[in-house]
Amino acid sequence: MNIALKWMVLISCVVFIPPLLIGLIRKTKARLQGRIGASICQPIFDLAKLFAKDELLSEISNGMLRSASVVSASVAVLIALSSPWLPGMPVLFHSDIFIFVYLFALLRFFTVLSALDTASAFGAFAASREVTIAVLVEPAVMLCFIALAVVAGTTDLSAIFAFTADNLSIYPGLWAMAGCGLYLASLVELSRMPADDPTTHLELTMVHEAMIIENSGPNLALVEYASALKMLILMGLSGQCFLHATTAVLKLHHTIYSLGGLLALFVMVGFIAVIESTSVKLRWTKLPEFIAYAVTFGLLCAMYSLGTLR
Amino acid sequence: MEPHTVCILFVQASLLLLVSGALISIGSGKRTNATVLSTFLFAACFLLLCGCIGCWPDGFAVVLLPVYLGGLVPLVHVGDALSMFFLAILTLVGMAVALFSPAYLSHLQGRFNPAMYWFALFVFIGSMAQVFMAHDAITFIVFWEAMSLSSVALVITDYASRKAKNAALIYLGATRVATTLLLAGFIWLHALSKSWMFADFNALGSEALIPLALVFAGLCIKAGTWPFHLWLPYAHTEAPAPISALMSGVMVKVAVYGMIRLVLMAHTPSLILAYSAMALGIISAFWGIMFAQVEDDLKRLLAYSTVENIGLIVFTIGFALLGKASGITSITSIAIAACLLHVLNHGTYKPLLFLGAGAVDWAAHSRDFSRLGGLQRFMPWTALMFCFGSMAICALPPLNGFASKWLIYQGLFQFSIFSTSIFNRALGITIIGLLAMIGAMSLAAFTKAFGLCFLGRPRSLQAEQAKEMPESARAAQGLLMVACILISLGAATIVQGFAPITAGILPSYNVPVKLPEPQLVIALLVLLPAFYLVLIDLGRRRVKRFSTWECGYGELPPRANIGAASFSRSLANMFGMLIQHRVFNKIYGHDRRHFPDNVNVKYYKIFVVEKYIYGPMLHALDAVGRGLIRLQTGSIHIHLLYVFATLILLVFIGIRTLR
Amino acid sequence: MKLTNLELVFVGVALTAIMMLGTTNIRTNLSLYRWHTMLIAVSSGWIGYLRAEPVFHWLGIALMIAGAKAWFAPWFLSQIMRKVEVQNDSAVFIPTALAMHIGIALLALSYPLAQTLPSVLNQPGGSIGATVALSLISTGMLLMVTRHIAVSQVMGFLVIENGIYLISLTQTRGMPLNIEMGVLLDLLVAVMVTGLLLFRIKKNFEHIDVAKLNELRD
Repeated sequence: MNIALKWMVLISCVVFIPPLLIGLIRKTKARLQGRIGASICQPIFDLAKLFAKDELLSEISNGMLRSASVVSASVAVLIALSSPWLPGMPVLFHSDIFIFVYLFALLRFFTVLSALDTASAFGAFAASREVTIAVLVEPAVMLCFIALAVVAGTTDLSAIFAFTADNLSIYPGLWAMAGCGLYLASLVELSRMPADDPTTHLELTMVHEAMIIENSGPNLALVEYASALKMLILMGLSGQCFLHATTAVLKLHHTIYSLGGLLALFVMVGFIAVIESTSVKLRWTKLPEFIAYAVTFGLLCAMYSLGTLR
Repeated sequence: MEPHTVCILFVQASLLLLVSGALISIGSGKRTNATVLSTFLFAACFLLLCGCIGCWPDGFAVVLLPVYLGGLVPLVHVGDALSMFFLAILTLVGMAVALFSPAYLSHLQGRFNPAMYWFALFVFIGSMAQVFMAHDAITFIVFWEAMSLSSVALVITDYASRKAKNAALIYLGATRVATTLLLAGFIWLHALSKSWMFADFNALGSEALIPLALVFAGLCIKAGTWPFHLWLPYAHTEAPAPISALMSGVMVKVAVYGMIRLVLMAHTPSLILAYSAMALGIISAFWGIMFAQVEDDLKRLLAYSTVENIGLIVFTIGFALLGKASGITSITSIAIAACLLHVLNHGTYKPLLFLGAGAVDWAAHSRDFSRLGGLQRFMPWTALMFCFGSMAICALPPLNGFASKWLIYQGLFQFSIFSTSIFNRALGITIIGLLAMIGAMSLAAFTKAFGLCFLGRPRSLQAEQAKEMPESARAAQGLLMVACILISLGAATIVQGFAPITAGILPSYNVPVKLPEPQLVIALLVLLPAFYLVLIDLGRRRVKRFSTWECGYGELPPRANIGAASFSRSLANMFGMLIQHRVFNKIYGHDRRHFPDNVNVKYYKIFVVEKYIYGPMLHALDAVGRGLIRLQTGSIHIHLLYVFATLILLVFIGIRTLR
Repeated sequence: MKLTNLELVFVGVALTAIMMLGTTNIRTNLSLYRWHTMLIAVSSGWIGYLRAEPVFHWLGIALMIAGAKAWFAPWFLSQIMRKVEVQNDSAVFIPTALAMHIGIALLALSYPLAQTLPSVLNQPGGSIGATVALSLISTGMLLMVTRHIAVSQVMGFLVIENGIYLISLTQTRGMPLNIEMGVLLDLLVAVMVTGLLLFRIKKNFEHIDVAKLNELRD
């Protein structure tokens, strides 16, 4: 396939798949709860509806809220276009691990500031929790990635996740552990159960939903799209980790890797829905213990990678 | 005249301007004209900057007329590539401070002595410039002392404030100890190498380890590394904002300059010094940012963040030393590049932040987060530049802070791959994880700083009456912001341009990694407007304004805004063992549970290092002193008895030795 | 032990100094000091003659000591005392009799101490001279430490000065003339300055009791 076609596929995936993922989660949850549920394309219709609505902005906000949604969306698209969440696709530029993690930090910076902008105590407490979570989650993500990078010998994400890397394909254990660590860290980062309930706006669950509560209309559309895109990227990467683990065990033909990547993505997202239906949200003070699981996986990966170096 | 001579002329002219500025400020006494003096300072810094840029990378040597110091010491000022680099940072911050000071000082009217301020400022900048140009120990120490003492005088500008006096005293004590250690080290090195020049100190072998460690300890104290960092939050908070900017941006870098010149350029690097520098650096980075994120005073938060960044710089110096000692040249190159770039970056965005804090202090008359808020409406330019500075210091791409952080990460990564011992590799990976945590904590600290000051609702009447600073002050911040932008765009070029500086450290300078900045910037520049257009165009609908959602209770008072302590409460709990915060609350009233009359809440921190390390040491000193007072009876006869008893004792000792 | 005549003079010097310890009357102290210094002048002339120095040298020194230290200094101090109207040093820290006994004990102690000093040559009156010198120093110290009023401090200082002079006389081959003259001049100036100061102290404080200075301590 030539490059132009690949780019078109990538861009259409980036535009359409995130709302589909949200729809998939809701549909799976509905089925598990014994309902039929809305169609998978419902979030797309929701976004279109939000773009047509008026916007209700707080009197106190001075523009930071709107700028933050623009920045969130752009940075999310940038990360999606430059990280190898879908195998076999071209990237805008070769982002390495540190750029990846710090672009997420840029996203977080503006989201937190938008929550503080409207003088809403609710949003501000959510912002406080978000930065606290970041302190624990960023090292977990970084350690998982660094373990992979040390074994691969490069920090370039595309090179690490490429299916032609010879030295990495012989470590299914490393990939599996990295995948687990990344998945658990992503659950917290994306504010999914058991870190935060995305279906309510109550005080118990205030991390993500409370931060975006003052957004409305197109603002809200951009912010929701950005968070769905985050889910796409992180779930894509953790799905790829497991995909690498399976391909290390059974050798598959390289043309089905892209489809395999999409399949892994949907499986991961479906698993989120299962977790959301079967587990309860943790109390806020117990959350660091949960994140400690992710950090433990990261440390295990690091130790594993130390042992593999000659 | 060839450009080289012109540049040397510029350097001499700038030194002359500094001296004359100092004399004018002393001479004019009560009638100091701030505009004239700030023009002098600006011109001096600008000329020095031009001279440095023109002489790059050959360097210059300036011999000052004997009349300059009364002919006491023959001073030769030599500027080589390293000196010119640091001089460039000094002059940039100096220009910004010169522009900012007159407007800022108007709010201290009547509480300070303007002649003393300007005189001390000229002496401060002049002595720092000459420390950077010093190539032998005597010049270094003389101007180091001048720098320390003038900065103490500047800290106490607001001489009526009790906190400022306390801060100046603590700072003075710290500099005395630092100078003592430096002098001890220098004298020992002189005894070993029979000369005062730094080049000869560097040629010494491993017998110079202990004096070098003494010098390093003295420089660590001045840089504000853990556990000697205590003076930094006190001094940098109580000093006026432009002085804090100078101190944080340049003065702590003078210590870094000393470390590079003496420790890094030494011919035989020692592993002990490398590992201890790395350990101290990473601990102070963690400690500094941990305390920054729970602070409730704006300038104190910035001061603790300085502790963090200095920790990172000292870490890179130790890292470079380790690379040099173990012979892996790629690590040394990357570490030095990271160190120099971080020094440059911190010297641009930290003064920007401090000047912003000064603007806030000027406009709202408070540094306390519980009295600020919503200032973005009244001070949009300052808010924009402070936001920019916060983004830079949190190392967010594509700004300059990210470039130096990225280099540190890459250096650690290369260390993890190319080292031969498991311990070193594990160290590299662990520190990468720790640095990620430190980065997240700095995000917490600076979103708090920016969000609580500029966003939301004003929490006090004075914050509601704030207004923007005059143009000169805004221009000062703008200058630093433009410098940040230029550095972030040209980071890759700057890193390649460090080659002449590293000539004394490495045989060959080669940074094998490439910063991907340009593509990132271009991509962002395309995407951002695209989405903005999506936001305002698509749909063509209106924006209505209404009050913030408050559960239907009606308009909430400004105090319902989040406070500094609440924002960082979870983080403070997480690090509770080290931060040791205490909450004291007392509720008064006849029926305390249901109808309280008065609620008194106090939230304070116990500083572990201060209480458990320095406290007992100072108490012991005090007890010894009090015991010694009893010897001093005030009676002449007893004192004469002491003299005679000593005499007899000496006679007996003499007899013993004779036998 | 057999003592030569010179050594007897030295012993006389030591004994007069110790007798100064035994009385608190200022005039008696001053006259004892006069005799004490006169004996020193005689002995220094005698030693100069024995060493066959030029006549001008030892005669000159002896006359200068006699004039400056034996006559002028005590006279000046007695004039000051008359103006200040102090006759007795009424307060002492230890009783005078005890002080005198301690003085004699110190003289005894000085003898073995002096034996350990390396005597430069087989000097005339070498070891006895050293003994007496050391005892003079101890006696002077005792005077300064145990007496209250300022005049006693001055006298103790003068006695210590004599002891040091004796050491330089008996343990060396002789000091150059310039040094001896310089030392005498210093001494003279010190005594005059102290005397004048005493006068001012009395005018300001109404007493010259040095022990009361510890009221200034906080």
